[in-house]
Amino acid sequence: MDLTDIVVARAIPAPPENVFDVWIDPTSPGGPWFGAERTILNPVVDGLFYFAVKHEGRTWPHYGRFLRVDRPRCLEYTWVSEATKGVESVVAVTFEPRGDQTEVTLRHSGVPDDDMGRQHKDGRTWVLSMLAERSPK
Amino acid sequence: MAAISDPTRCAIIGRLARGPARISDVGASFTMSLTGVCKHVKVLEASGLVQRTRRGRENTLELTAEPLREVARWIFKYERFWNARLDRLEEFFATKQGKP
Repeated sequence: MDLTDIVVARAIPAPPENVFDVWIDPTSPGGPWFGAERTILNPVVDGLFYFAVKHEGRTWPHYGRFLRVDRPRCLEYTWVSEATKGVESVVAVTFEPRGDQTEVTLRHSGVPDDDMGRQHKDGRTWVLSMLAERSPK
Repeated sequence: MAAISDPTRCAIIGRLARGPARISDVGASFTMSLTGVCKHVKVLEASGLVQRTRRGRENTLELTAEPLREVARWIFKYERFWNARLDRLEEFFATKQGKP
C-alpha cells in the first residue's frame, strides 16, 4: 500500500506552553478532541486514546498511542482509523515560539494512498475540486 | 488517479468541464495529432471520467463528474480535518486574547 504525508501549519497567538496544554485537553473548546462523541485520552508516552467523531451521519472511531510527549515542544501519536484503512499512521505536532506567537506544524505521516498524496502535494487538488464543482452534477 | 496525472488528460477534463464537446473540437486545442488526443480520451473513457456518444460520424465527449468529485473529496479529507482543528485552536486563542 502506498502512503503519503499531510502537513498543515498555523501561527497561534499564544505562548507554546498554553497552546500545548490546550492541545492535550479534551475539555478545552480550542483543542482538537473537543466536540467528539467520546474521547478517552491519556497523554503520556505509551498512553492510549480513543476518539469517536460524528461525521456525515455516522461515527468514526480513531485509536492511537502517544509516542512522544515533550511539553511544550512536541507531541507525537499514532493514529488508526477506518480512513487509514487500519494502517498505523503517525501525527507529529510541533509548537515553536515565534515572537509572542506559536507556530504549530502538524504532519500526518503514513496516510494511505500515494497517488492521492501526490495530487495533494503538487497543488492540483484545488484544480480537481474546482473541476468537480463546475462539472455537471 | 493515473488517468488524471497526465497534463493533456487534465486539459481535456478542463475543456469538458465547460460542457460536452465534439472530439474534433477538443483535439483542435492541442498541438498533437487527433490520433494522439484520441489515445488520451480512451484512457479517460476507461477510467469512467469521460463518456463518448456516437451520432453518425460525430463523436461527442462528456465529463462524468462523479468519479472526479469522489477523488476531490478523498484528497481533501484529512487536510480539511486538520485545518479545521487548527482554525479552532487559532480562534480560541484569538478570542481569549481579545478579552480584557
